[in-house]
Amino acid sequence: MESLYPVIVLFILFFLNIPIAYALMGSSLFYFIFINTSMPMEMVIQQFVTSIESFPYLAVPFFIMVGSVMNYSGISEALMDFAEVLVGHTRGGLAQVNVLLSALMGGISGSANADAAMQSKILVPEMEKKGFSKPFSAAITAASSAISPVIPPGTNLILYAIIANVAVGDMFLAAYMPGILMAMTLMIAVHIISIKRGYNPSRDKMASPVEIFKQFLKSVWALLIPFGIIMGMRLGVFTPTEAGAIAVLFSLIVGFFVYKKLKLKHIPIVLKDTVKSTGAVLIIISSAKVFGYYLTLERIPQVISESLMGMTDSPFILLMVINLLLIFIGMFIEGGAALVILAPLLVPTVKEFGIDPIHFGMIFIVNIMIGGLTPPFGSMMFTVCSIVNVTLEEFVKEVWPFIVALLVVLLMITYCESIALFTLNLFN
Amino acid sequence: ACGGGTQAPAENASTDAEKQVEKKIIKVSTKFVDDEQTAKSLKKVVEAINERSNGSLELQLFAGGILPIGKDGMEQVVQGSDWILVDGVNFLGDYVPDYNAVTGPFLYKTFDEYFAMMKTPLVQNLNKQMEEKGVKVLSLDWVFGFRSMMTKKPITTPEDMKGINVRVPTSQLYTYTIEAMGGNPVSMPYPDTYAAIQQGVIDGVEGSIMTYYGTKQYENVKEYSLTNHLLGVSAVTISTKVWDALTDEQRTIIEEEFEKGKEDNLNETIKLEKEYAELLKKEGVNFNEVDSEAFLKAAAPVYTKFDKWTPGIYEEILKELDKIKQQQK
Amino acid sequence: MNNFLKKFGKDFELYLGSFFLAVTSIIVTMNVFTRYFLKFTYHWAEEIAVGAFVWTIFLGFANAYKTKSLIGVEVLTSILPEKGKNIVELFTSIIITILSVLMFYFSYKYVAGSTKITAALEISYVYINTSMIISFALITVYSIYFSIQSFKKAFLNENTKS
Ligand code: NA
Ligand code: NA
Repeated sequence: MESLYPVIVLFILFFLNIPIAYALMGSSLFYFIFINTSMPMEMVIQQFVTSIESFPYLAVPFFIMVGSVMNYSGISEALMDFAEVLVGHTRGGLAQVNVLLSALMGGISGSANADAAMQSKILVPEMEKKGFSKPFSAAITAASSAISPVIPPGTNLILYAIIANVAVGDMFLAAYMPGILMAMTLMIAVHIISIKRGYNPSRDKMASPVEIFKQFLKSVWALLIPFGIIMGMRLGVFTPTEAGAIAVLFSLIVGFFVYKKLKLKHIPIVLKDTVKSTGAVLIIISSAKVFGYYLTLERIPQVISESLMGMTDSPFILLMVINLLLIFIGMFIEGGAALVILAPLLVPTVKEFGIDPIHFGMIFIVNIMIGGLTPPFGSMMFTVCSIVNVTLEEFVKEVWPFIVALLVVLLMITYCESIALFTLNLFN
Repeated sequence: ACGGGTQAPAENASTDAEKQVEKKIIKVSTKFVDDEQTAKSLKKVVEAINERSNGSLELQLFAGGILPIGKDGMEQVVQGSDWILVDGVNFLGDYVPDYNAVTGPFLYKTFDEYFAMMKTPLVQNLNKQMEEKGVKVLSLDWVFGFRSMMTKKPITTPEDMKGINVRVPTSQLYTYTIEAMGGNPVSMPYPDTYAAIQQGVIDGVEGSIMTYYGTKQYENVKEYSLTNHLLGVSAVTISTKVWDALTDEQRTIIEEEFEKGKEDNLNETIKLEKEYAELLKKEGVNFNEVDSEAFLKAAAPVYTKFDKWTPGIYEEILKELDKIKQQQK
Repeated sequence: MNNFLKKFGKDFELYLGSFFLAVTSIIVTMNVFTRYFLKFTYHWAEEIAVGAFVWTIFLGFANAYKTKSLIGVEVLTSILPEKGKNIVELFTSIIITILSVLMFYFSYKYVAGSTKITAALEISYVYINTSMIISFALITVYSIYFSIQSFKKAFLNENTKS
């Protein structure tokens, strides 16, 4: 029992609104000061700081920076125009644009909250003008923002790859399929609701191939970013970390010289944003590492693994249990933090059950995004509701069909490995 | 208190009991995973010490790098933690650079030559310097095999290494060694090498037979050329602070059991290398003898590249080595 | 924003961190170019990039705390009334002060006794890890300040303008 005290401390600290990094530090310090005194504190600190002194983690600030550059560079607008000519003519036009835009933006940035915030400001007012209700607009904006971190590149994909010891490139390739499926099911849900409620297209008729091609040429630079990253990594031209740095350089060039919206004065803002976000994300990783030490020393991963194996020997049931657990935890804890804390615990167990770690990664990443849409504490839900001024009740009434759509995707990739790993196998 | 007496006051009895259970807990940290030979032999050592010490010592083995290893593990030893580190001799080289010289390229043809060198006053003096830094060197003799080249084409002379990209760990000694041998060193994490060979980024790797077999590199490259350029060997170290606080008996137990463990590790390693060589031959791997003299000559410049090494150390090593070779004839 | 924080410079961690981030970015980009066009890489590049990265993290961390941008679970504070919120905030700030003081003390002890050197440049890790000590020192100061603020709000009915 004593060995579980730090977990209890962790939850108390969470509950008291202590930041996640500090909650992890606090419970770890509690363990190493009061329970296991045989470990020198110097070692604890050494591991705390050494865990982030690692080249692969450099990819994280780079991809955060690309996302930040995107806000000032005109890339978002180019992608939005492209999405509009592609799906604007369909039923519920702007809602479809909203979904597709998240998928396209996902190819560049990896933050659901940034995506949700940006589209709440730009798209939701437009949607209201076209007759969509505000809560519906908010709901589809939040729901589709769950796609961004799943479409590569994305910080969560990188973190999972490092934790599970799989290739970042494989993780990226595989994640296209779940990302595309999420976009497709959301678009189907939008379509059904739009027919029922008579939501209109945003343009009278389908864009002509010439118009589409013209818009494609305008947006091609933005679309090249993800393509270049993936190709460069596939061909072994650069490592994921270097891919991040090149993506920064490329998006700067596109912003300065192609769309010409980016100005020198934006650079300090981009850097400052990135420094702050990098600190906030990576401090969780180093705190989680120390907390992981406690778990390892108390053999808690083995205990969990053994008790899960005692409960069932079916991967089917195991994944069901893990999915329910993750959705529950995702309701309270931000996705990236849940990933850093839980992936080291769960990956060894699923491997024992013969589940491919990349397959599990897909399940994990999609799952934690769903938690961000649900009450009581979904982070994208909060972002959108506070920006567009919608109450939680109104939001929940509108978001549930989209949550169902995403759960369908989760089930598909959980129980059909060939779907989950479709894009990975396609290219290998 | 001598304890046991029926009239012994309760207080005394309890302190007595405490003394009996109060044992010295020392963590043994190594990068080797459970089924690697070094870890297997260490497991026996730890069990033997715990048994022989009658509960006055409890060594706990943490294999597979669960606890800090490498530079971090060595730092724990230096800082005086209750800690034994079993890891590369090169980590001692961060503190006393000459350790890298005495484990430098192409010095030894047999394990015995190496063991004899470790007993020379030259190396004993390094151990003394290490002690001044707070580290007691218990052993330098936990070998896991000579490192050779695994490449696409067979190698017999330095000429054959020209233009070949070889993966090395992030270490200047390895970089300079491969350079001196004629190849292009490329630094990358070992797990990336399998794919890197397939993509043609590198033409081969260097390492022991065990690594060659264990990581299935034979699926990619079929030539194993016995350059024996470096010796894979671990040092066993403990903090002097911890060591000095032990009783004479405890120290004897630890020293003797680690010595036995070293023998066990050595014998098993030799046996395994033979077995693995056979298995590799069955996989179609060719073993190539190399022109050792040519490589030794080619590698001499390596010994001039490190300004932290004691000047003239190479000549001193060669002198000692000559003596050893005479004796072992 | 009040005088104390203003004096400290609202964004100074971010400006300093931006410098380190720029160094990291330039070195990594440069590495790709030298490797593919000049066929070599600087052996120190990775080490400098990682070292600057660690400074970026700890400076960003301190600023993220100061600007209340660290990710947390807002269970309690979203339920409670204003008065209760202030009391929880006071409590939270005190806990963070305690933890930061501990982390400051332990990291100072660790770095002071550190003997580790880097692989390529063979320089002491002290130059990298000092960022951790500075970060926890800054957060200690900020959290004490926040504690006083929430104490005033909770018990002295003071409405601080921010
Ligand atoms: Na969207
Ligand atoms: Na993304």
